[in-house]
Amino acid sequence: MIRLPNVLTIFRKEMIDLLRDRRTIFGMVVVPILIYPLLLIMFSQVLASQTERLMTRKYSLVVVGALNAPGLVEHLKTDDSWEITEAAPGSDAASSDTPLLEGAAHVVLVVPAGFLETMQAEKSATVELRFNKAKDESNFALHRAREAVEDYSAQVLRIRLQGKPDGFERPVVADENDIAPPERTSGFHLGRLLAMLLVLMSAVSAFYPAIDMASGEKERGTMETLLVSPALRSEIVFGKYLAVATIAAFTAVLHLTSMGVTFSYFFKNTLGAAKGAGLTFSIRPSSALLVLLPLIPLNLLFSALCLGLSAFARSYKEAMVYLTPVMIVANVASFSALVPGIEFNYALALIPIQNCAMLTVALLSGDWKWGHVLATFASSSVYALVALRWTWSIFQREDVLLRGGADFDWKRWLKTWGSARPGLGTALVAVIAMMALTLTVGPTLQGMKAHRLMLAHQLLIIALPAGIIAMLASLNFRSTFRIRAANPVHLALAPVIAVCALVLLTTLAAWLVDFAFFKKSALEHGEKLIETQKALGGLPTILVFMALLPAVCEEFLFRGIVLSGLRRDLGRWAGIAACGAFFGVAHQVPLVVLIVSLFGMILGWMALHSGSLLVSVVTHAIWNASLLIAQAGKVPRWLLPDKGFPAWPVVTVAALVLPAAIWAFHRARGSDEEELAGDGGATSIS
Amino acid sequence: MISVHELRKVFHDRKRGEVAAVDGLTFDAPAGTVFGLLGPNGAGKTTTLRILSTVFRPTSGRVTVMGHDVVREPHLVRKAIGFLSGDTGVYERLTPREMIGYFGALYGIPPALLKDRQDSLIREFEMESYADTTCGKLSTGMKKKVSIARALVHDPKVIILDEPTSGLDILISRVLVDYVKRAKEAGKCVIYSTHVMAEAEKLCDRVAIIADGRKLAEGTVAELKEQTGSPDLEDAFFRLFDARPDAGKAATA
Ligand SMILES: Nc1ncnc2c1ncn2[C@@H]1O[C@H](COP(=O)(O)OP(=O)(O)O)[C@@H](O)[C@H]1O
Ligand SMILES: [Mg+2]
Repeated sequence: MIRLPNVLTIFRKEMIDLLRDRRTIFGMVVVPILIYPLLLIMFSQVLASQTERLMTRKYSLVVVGALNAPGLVEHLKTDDSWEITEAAPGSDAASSDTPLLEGAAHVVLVVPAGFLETMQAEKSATVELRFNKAKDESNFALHRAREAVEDYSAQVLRIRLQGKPDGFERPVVADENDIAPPERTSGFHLGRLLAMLLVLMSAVSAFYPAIDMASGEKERGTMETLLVSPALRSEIVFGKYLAVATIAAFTAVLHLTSMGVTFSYFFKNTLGAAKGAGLTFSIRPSSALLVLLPLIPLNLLFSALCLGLSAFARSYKEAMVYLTPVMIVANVASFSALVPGIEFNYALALIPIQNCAMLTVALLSGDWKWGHVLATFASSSVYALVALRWTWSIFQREDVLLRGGADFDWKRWLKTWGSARPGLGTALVAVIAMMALTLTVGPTLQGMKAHRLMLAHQLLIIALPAGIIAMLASLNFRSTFRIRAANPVHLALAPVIAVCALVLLTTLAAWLVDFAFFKKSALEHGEKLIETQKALGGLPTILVFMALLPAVCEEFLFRGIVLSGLRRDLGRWAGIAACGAFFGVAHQVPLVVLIVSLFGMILGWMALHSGSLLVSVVTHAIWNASLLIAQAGKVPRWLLPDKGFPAWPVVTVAALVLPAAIWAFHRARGSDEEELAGDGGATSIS
Repeated sequence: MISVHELRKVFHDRKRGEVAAVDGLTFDAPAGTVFGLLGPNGAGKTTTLRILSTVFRPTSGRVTVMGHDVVREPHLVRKAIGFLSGDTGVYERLTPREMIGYFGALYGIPPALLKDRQDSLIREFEMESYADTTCGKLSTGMKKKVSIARALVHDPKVIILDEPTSGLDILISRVLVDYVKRAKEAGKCVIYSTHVMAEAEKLCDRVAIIADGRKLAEGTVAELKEQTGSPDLEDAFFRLFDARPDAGKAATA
């Protein structure tokens, strides 16, 4: 229960506290208002003066073989912005390369012998323009020389065409007409840039207030005092979160407004001439307001994330270290907005940060649906809530809130080797190591025979890294990997839950696969699996290599080190959810990601409650095996009538049995050590 | 009012391994008394007080404040106590008046009453001249007074002070000592930790002398002097400390 008055008291105090801070005001108001005009003024001043200089200055032109084309040289001499030097008669083209390289000459015109004869025969002659691309002056000189040659060419053409009707030389002309409304095209170009900046601004805006409110409070020694007050931890977290989000939203909006005003002024005045070239900047006020929409979920998410990491940190400095990766991730995600050709869809709406960037692009191009906006809002809110829940759990932990510094001690590490417990960091390292290996080592394995490939992939990429990380982090293997005897009731229920979950989730998949986004990749994925199966041979071999082996290795990684680490720092439920999501994402194919994530969460809960990895290995193996048997066509048709998807009566039975099985599983006593010892997160009071 | 029974608190320290900061501590502090926790640095005083004020959870043992268990009913304990932690800080960008007001609001004091309370605390601790200056500009002693006033805003029945006079000059100390005496007369329970024996001798009705998380002796100042045959509390402390059961062990550790 949260008492609103307390939340508001904390919110009000944090706002007053922050607004009295000169640094906040500077970052919140002064920087956004001044930075864009200043940048633009500097940029356009330098650009304009430099371009002006390069466009109007004199360039030196060397003509080789001037005697071959007196008319052309005469034409060049009418333009007094050239300093023309004629090379000695008989010198070759390369003779002027040295001055060109040194910058003494800017462009060299080489006229071949016989130029005059070709002209008289009314044929086409070629002259050579030699230039030095590495020098700006040479580039500008080339541009001017090219125009002069084309000018001369046009003059000659007019003479040749004497007596012919107008338009003789251009029999067919195409007229191109763009029918896109101007705000859509400009939205398309500018929207990508704007989307990228939007993400960056949102991340940056939450940075300072979050650090100040959590690690700052620790550093000033007021955290303990606040925790002893009757305000609940949840009220403290919410009050602070509201303050961070408010300041961050204000800053981001100001950034955007300042940016928008500056850019539109810039486009209207400085780039007025560019309009002719098709570069227009016009965004209707309504689309400008629409851009504020993705700002809300971004703001909610970043504020929660920054606050959590800042609370986790011991000090200001440490908070900066933790928040820097967030900024880097935001950067990378925001660049995706620049990639052309990505259409917004509902699967994309599930990817945090990126969904907001792409939504901005869609909104500015005018090509969007309210459903997209809602989906983005919903998924971002869920992520923000998870981050807040994590922040709350940090506020429960006395060791994190009041811990002192500790340095690494080798002797101690050796002495206590094998007794540590994994945390969030260990879990993330394990997942990232797996993903990085998949990307780097994965492709090199492809040439192997099917069963070697499966073995190498599962052992080298999935199980081994987890084992090595556990050894390096000196983890206790028994508790990290849940190496404990299982309750027979749990083992007996595992196949039931596996089969029922498979039936229900494949039904969900059957329903979702009709979304175009899922279809293609899901079908491709299915084909690849069937290929591997064929290569492996008989069903028993298939079951060993594709059901049992992956079950053991994947459980070792995901329900072992990853779940243990996530659970300790995120709490029970957020840990299960995050572990399931990682498990899903590792499967890469969008539809499979969704289904496998859900199954991963079930596995996570089973592993935690039973306390034994054996239970989740069995469940996982039975799921794999049932799927493979069904694909091999070894199941009666009445069970799977429709393209291998279960029949409705089967689905109904599964829907009834699964809750019962889960209930029975829950009732049976497990050996989750933290549950037995009284879980820190669950028994804390506020 | 406060009852501590067989309290143990073990920290998992990366360098030192398991540290029993408090190891089987038992004492009772009734209403209307000033109870002193005396001990050298690292004795476990701060840890004990942090458990009393629900910041830390005990590893084992039972602690109640006004009948409320600190583990099961921390919200009731927090309402009942005023806690001044040893290394407490102030919000540098708030004024003393705002600091007191903020915590008063969190304790649920109605606005009209809170205003009176702010005024009377500012008067009581002689902070009128700087009540509306931001705390960042105040001296250490002034900040400490702000912290003390803030801890007392809800007129708590139990007052927990962790080395409150360290870093204070004698004038400010006297204001605090006077307040503690008055609180005791008003029937409140004050727990007071210090390593300054003279102060304890003057102020405390009962003292417990602790070292390495264990209680060496407990009683009134007169009782302790008599028990050890010492002229003053400081001497009594030295005798008890040198005669503690694992003196040799601790010295080599
Ligand atoms: N958060 C903590 N983590 C680890 N060890 C701690 C922590 N707090 C206190 N200790 C240890 O507990 C012991 C008692 O400390 P403390 O209660 O602060 O003593 P005192 O207040 O009497 O000086 C010391 O050895 C100290 O290092
Ligand atoms: Mg202390």
